[in-house]
Amino acid sequence: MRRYVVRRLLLMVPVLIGVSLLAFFLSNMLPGDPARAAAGRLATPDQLEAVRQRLGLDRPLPVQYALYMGRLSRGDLGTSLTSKQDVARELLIFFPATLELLLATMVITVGVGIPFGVRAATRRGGWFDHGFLGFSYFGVGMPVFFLALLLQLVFAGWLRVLPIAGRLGLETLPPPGLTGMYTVDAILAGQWSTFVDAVRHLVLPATTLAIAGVSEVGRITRSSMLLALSQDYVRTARAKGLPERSVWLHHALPNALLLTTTVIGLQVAFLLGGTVLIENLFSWGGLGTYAWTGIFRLDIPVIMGVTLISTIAYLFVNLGVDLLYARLDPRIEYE
Amino acid sequence: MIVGGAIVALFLTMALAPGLFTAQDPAGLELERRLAAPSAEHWLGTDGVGIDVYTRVVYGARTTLATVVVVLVIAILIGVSVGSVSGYVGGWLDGLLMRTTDVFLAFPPLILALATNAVLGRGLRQTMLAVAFLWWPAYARLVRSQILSVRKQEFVESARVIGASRFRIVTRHVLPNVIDPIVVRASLDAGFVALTAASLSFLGLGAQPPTAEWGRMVAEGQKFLLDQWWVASFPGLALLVLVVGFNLIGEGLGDRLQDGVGGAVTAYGKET
Amino acid sequence: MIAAALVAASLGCAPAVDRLHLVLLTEGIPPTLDPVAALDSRVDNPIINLYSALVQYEPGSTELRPDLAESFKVTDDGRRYVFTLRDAARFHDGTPVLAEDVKYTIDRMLTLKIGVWAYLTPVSGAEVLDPWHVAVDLYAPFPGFLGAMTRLYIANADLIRANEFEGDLGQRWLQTHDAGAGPYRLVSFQPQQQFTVERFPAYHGGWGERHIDSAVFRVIREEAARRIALVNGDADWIYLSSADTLEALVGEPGIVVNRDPTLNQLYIAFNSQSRHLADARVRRALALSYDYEGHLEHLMRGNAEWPRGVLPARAECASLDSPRPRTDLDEARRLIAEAGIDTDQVELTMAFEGTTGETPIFEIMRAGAAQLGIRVTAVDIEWDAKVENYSRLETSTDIGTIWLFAPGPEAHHFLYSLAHSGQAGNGGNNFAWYQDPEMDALLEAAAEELDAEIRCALYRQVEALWLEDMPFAVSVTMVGLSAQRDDLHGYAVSLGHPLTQNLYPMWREQ
Repeated sequence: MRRYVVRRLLLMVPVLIGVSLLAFFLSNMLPGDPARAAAGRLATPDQLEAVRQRLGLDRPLPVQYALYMGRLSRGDLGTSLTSKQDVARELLIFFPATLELLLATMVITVGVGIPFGVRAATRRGGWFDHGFLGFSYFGVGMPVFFLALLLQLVFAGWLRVLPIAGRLGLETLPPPGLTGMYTVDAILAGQWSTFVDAVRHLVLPATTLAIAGVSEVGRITRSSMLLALSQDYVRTARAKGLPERSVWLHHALPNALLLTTTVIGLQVAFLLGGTVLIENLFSWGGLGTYAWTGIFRLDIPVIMGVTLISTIAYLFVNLGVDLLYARLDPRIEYE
Repeated sequence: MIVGGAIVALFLTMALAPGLFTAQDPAGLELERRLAAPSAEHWLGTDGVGIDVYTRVVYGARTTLATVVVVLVIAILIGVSVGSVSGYVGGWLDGLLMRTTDVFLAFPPLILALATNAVLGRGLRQTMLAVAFLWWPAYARLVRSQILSVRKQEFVESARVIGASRFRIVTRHVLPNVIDPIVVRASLDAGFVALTAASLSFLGLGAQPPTAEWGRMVAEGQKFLLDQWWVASFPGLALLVLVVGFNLIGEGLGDRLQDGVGGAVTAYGKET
Repeated sequence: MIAAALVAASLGCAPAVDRLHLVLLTEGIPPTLDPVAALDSRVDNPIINLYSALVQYEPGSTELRPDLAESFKVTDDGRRYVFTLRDAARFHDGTPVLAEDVKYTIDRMLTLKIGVWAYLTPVSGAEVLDPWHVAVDLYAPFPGFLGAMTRLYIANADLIRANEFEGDLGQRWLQTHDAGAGPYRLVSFQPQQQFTVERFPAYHGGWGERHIDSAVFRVIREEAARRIALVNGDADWIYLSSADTLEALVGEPGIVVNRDPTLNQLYIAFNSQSRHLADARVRRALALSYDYEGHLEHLMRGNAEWPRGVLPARAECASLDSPRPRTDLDEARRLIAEAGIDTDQVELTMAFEGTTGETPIFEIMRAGAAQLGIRVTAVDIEWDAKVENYSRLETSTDIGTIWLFAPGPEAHHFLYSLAHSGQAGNGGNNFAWYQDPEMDALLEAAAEELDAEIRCALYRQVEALWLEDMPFAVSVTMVGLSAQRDDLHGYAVSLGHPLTQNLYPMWREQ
C-alpha cells in the first residue's frame, strides 16, 4: 500500500508542474504592465520599480518562471491588487467558511444520494424509481445560481422558514475561532444555540450545491446496485436464504459503492466551481465570495490564487478517492 | 430522447427564426413600462429597463446555442487533431500531449474557464474561447483511445500494406470510425457547455449587454427577486429546460450507439 | 403578499436589542481603511467615524466648523493658512494630535499623490510652527481649500512610521488598522465581511447623553437580504442601491426611508479626440439623445434630482437660469446630418460599471444613440480599471460614465477636474480628453478667484462654452437612498460626505 501511495504522489508531480505552468502562462497573458498589475493601480513609480525588481520582471521568461515557482513553493501567491494583502493569507481566512459549506454539501450528497439510489434500485420501476429519475434529470440540468435564487425566493422570501443569507444571524456572535467553521467551533465551545443558528444558515446554500450531487450519486448508486444485484454472488447469497435487506446492504451495496466513490470525487470539482457562483448570493464570505470579488475587480493574483488552491485541493481529493477505492476494491493490486 | 429532441428543436427554431415567436425588439427598452408583471401584452413581464422578458428569452436561445456550437466545434477540431497525432504518431509526442491533457483535466472545470475568461477579458467571444480551451482535452483523449483500438484492425493494416500515407490512413480510414463516439460525447457535453457559458455570463464575464443571454438575465433579475420574480425566473427556467433537453438526447444517443461503440464513451449512470 | 409575510415575521420575532449598539448593513466593504484613500465614499464611510480632520462640516449641512483645529488664519494673498490645534485632541492610542502629525499627513499625501490629493492639488506643503500651530501653503489662492480639507483626515505619524513596510508610508498596515482621532475606534476588521467600531472615550468632541456605544457595519451584498433583515428588526440601518426596493419599503410599519440629497453628479464623457466624436455637433447630438426624464422618473422613480446647467442644483454657482438637460431627437438628428456623419460607419464603445448598477445607464445611452442610427457597444469595467484605461488616449473608450463625488459644493471640484486639459490622462477625470485653451483659462481664473460673485460669473462662461462643446453630457444628480428602523435618530448625511453613516450624531429612542 505504501508503495502505491508513493507512486500516486510521484505521478502528481508532472501534473502539478503543468498546472503551475498554465497558471503562470495565464497570468502573463494579461495585456499591460505586469509590474503595475502586481503593485496595484495606486502604486507610485518607486513602488513600481521595487515590485519589478522583486518579481524579476525585467528578466527572461524562463527565469521569471523559476522565480515564480520559488515564490509558490514558499507559499507566496502574490498580493491582491485591491486589498494589497497577501493572497495566501487571505485564502487562509476565507478557506474555513468554504470547507464548512463543502462538508455540509457532501453530507447531504452522500446521506441522501446513496439511500435514494439504493431505494430506486431495489424498487426498480416503482413510483420512487421513476420519481427519482425524473428529479435527477432536473438536478443535473439545473444551473446552481438559478437554483440558489429559487430556494431563496421560496424558503426565505415566501415561506420565511430559513435565513436568506449569511453564516450566522445578525444577533449571533461568531463562536471562538479554532477551526473557523462555525458549526464545529460552536460545538467545541458548547454553544448550542449558535450551532443551531449556523446549521440553519447552512441549509439553503448546502442544499443548492447538493442537488446536482444527489442526482449524480443517486443515479450511479442505482445503476451499480442494479448491476451488483444481477451478479452471481448475490444470487448465491439469496440462495442461502439471507433476508433480502441483508443481501442488499451487505452484498450488493459494498460493491456498488466502488463506482459511487469515484463520482463523489468528481463532484468536488463541480462544487469548487459552484461555490464561486453561489457564495456571493448567500453572503457566505468564503473562497467563492473572494473569487467573485476578484473576478469583478479583475484582480488576477486573487483569481490565480483561488484557481491554484482549488486545483490542488481537487487533486488531493482525487488522490484520496483513488486510495479509498484501492482499499475498498480487493481486486486492485498495489504493485 | 424524443422529448429532448423536441426541446432542442424548439430552441433551435427560436435561435434561427426568433421573428416567428415574437415581434418585439430584444433591445427595445421602454423605461415607462419597466418591471411590468406578466400580462397578455408581456407574457413573461418586463425587466428592469422595460424590455419584454419573453422576447429576451427567445433571443437568448440564439446566444446560448451559438456558444454551444462554436465551443464544441473548436474543442472537437483541436481534440481530433491532437488526439489523432497522439494516437497515430505515438512515442514521446504522445506522452507529452497526454500529460498536457492531464494538466487540463486536473483543474476543476468551471474554475479553469473562469480564470481563462478573466484573463482574456469580458465578452461572448472570450467566453467561447475559454470554454473551448477547457473542453478539447476530453476529445483528444477520446479520439486517441479510439485510434489506438482502430489502427490495429485489419482494414487499417491492409491500407498500410498497400502503401497509403499516414495522413490518408488517418483521414480516410481511422477518423470515420471515431465519428460516432464523438457525436455521442458532444451531445452529452452540450448541456454542460451551455451551463458553463451561462455561469460565466452570470458572473459578468460572458455576453455583454444588450445581448440577450440567460445567465446574465438571471444576474440582472436577482435584485428584483422578492417583488418581481419573473425577471430572473424565466431565463433561468429556459436554461434548465434546454440543458435537460440536451441531456436527454445525449443519453438517448449514448444508449443507442452503445452496442457499436463499446464502453468508451458511456458516461456513468446508464441503465444496466 | 411578501410584505404581509415580512410584517408577520417582524411581529413574531422582534429580538431583544442592545440599545447602544447599532447594526448597519452595507453593500460593499471599504477596500482599505487608509484615510488618504477617502476620495472613495466606501472608504470615507469608516474613515469619517475613525478619524478627524482640521475642519469639518456640521452633520447634515455644508456649514464648516472647527474640528481638530480650534481656529485658523489665512494670509491676505490667500496662500497660507495657519491652523491652531486643540489642546485636548488625542489619537486612539492616547497620544496628542500635534502639528507634526498634520505635517506628516500632508507630506504623505503629497508623496503618494493618490486619493484625496486630487482635491488638494494646490497644496504645496506644510510647516510646523510649534507643536500646536501648523501652516499649510498653497501654490495659488484656492477658494475650495477649506471644503477640501474636510477630507484630509489627520493620522498618527508615529504609529504609521512604526508600521511601514518597504517604504510604503504605512499603506499596507493602514489597510486594516486605525491611526485616527475620530469619535469611534476600530475594534475589528474582517475583510469582505464586517468591521466593528466602539466609542473612543477621550474623543475631543466630548460625549453627551445621547450617543451609541458601538456599531457593526456588515456587508450583505444582496439587497433582498438587507431588506429582510431590516424588516425583521435584525438591522437598524441598511444601504439601498435600488429605488425599487426603497419604494417597496415605503409605508412598511416601523421603517423609515431616507432620501438624502447629494452632490454626486453623473456625467457621461464623450471622447473629444476619438475619430467619430471630434465634431462637437456629434457630441451634442448624443447628449440630446439621452433619455434624462426616463432615467430620473422611471429608472430612479423620482429618487434623483435634475442638475442645472453643468452642475448639481445644490452646488455653489448653480443657477436657476441654467437649462436642465433635455432630450430632443429631432435636433440631434439635424446635428448629425449637419456634421455629415455616415452613421452606418460609426460604432462607439462605452465604458460603465455594471457591478455598481450602471448597466441601465449604458442601456439608455445605447437606446438613445440607436435612435440616431449609431451603434454603441458595452465595455463593462470596474472603476480602477476604467481610470487605468482613461489614463492613455489609445485605451480610452469613446463614451464613459463618470460620477463626481465632490468633497464640497464648490463648482471647482466638478468643473476643473472634468474639463481642464491638465486633467486628461494620467488618472485624471477628464475622460473626454477635452482640450480647449479658453476653457482652461476660465477654469484657472475661477479656481483662484476668492470673490464669489466674480467666480460664479466665470463659471457662467464655462457653462456656455461647455454646452456648446459638450465634452460631457450632464445626467442626473444622485439622491442617497437608505432605510432604517424608526427608533434610530440623528442619521444625517453631509453633502460633503455622500453615502456615509456618521455615527456620532446618532442615537436610538422609541
